[in-house]
Amino acid sequence: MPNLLTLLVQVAAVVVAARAVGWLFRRVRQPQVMGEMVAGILLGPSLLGWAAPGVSAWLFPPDSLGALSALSQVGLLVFMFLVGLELDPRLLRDRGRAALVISHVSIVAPFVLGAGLALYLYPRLSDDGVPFAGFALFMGAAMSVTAFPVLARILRERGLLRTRVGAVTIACAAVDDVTAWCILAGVVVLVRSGGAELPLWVTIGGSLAFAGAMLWGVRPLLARMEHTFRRRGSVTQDMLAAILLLVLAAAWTTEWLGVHALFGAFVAGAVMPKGEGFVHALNEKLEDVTVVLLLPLFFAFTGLRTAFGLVSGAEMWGYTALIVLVAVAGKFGGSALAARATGMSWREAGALGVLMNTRGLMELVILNIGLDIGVISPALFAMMVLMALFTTFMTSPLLEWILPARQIRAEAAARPAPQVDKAPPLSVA
Amino acid sequence: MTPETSGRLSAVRTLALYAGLVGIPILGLVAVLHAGQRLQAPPSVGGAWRVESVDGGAGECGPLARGAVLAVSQSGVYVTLAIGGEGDIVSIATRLDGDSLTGTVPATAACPRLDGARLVATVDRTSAPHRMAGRVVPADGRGAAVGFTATRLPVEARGAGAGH
Repeated sequence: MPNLLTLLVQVAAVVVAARAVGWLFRRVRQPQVMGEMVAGILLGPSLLGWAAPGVSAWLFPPDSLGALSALSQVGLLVFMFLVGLELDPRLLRDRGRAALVISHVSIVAPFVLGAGLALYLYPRLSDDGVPFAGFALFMGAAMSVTAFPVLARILRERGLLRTRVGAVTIACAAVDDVTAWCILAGVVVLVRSGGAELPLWVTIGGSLAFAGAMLWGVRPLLARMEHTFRRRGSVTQDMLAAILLLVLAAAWTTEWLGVHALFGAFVAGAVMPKGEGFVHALNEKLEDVTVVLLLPLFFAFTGLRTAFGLVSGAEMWGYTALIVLVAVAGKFGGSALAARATGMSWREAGALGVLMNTRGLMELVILNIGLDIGVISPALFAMMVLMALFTTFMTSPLLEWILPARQIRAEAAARPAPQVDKAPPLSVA
Repeated sequence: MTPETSGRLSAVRTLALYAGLVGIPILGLVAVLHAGQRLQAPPSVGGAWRVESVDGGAGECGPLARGAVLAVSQSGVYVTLAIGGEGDIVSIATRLDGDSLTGTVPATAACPRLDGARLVATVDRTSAPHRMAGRVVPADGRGAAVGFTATRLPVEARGAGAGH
């Protein structure tokens, strides 16, 4: 059938699947986004393509995937902008040295373990078209990311945002994400440098110039926009258009520089003013359509690229188990030990470790970039997707075991509330 | 202990924690990157390969025919060869050892006489373009072996089957 009709049917099918499976996962006290991720995978070769190949071929003919991919990338750009928008440097202020140590250890530990795992996986799952340094650094970055939006949602739903654990965790997750993205930008440049159109010095210099221009040129202008918002009391359509144009321009710039469009969108969000009302108003304008309509397309596109059938045989499942083990040991172990070493109780440290181990959507974004630039293979991609699903899935039940909800409510009732958190976090879950 | 003293101890403790929990792992990362320089990854064979000739046995069979495109998806030493069109795709899981691929052809209606046949192919990456020469030996002596050669297509022509 003609391409537009195909696209419309695809979008409808994806949205229905995402809401349905998301609802099922909420019923078992898992984040909505977990269900949407699984829905995307079920629509791919791992289930639909295997059980009903004719239906799959009719619904997702190869020549229609370009349009689906483009729409999903636009959704991802807006989502990354919203993630950057939620990041507030004030999160780390007044959290003390503990948050600084924990946040850096929670990056370094999984990063080093991931890079160490690369020593084992490189001769088995990579090829000589990929430099070891790029492979190892990518594995490190992929292991060290935390799903900041999902984590924020879990903390809010469980009433943990106003606790010490919640406050330190959200601050650490914010630092983690920014650092992981910076490292990933470097990995992309490193891997692409061989076949890049631009010389490396242009890419690096241009990226630094871009960051500087956004921080010291664009941000002051955006402050004026927030001032206008406070005067008018709402985000006008003209303001929204200007912001979206900024996102597109930033994404275009970083893509042209050879870094990746998503970084530009993320930076655009990060330099936005962080006034509570302004952030909330922008979220209201953009979040629902992004989360309900566009993000599931990204999950579906990821699902179409995820072939769990490639993970076959004891060897492959052994690699998968090893990846999960290293991911959990690095993130949970590193974060919990650092938290304990800075004076948190074992219970609080364990809760922090479990929360930091949540990888969710951010992991899928990074993995897709890795597959796009060829630094990971389809089989390794599938294994890492399994790791992302497993680590996200284990968060809620483990957290309930370590910090039961009724206990949190009782402790909160007995304690005066600390400083009020800002606008509601991104409700992607 | 005065507040000033406890403050200094806290700063010292923080510094020690940072050095131990962050500094040492970073040194470990440097060691990992250094050690990885000596590692050898399998040769890259992923992409699209055009079958140039099929001879021996009863010649062409099912999708294995001159001009057909072999889609090679590689994940390190695990290589999948897929050949055929819609409804007629045969996927062969192989293992790469040096420049040699070995695997077993699955049961397929496309070419029954090659069901369970053993595939052995060698990749020559010194030639330009890269060439692959292989033999498909039927199981249980069900006929003579089928030989084939293929050449690797340029990156632009590889499309979805490129894998890595």
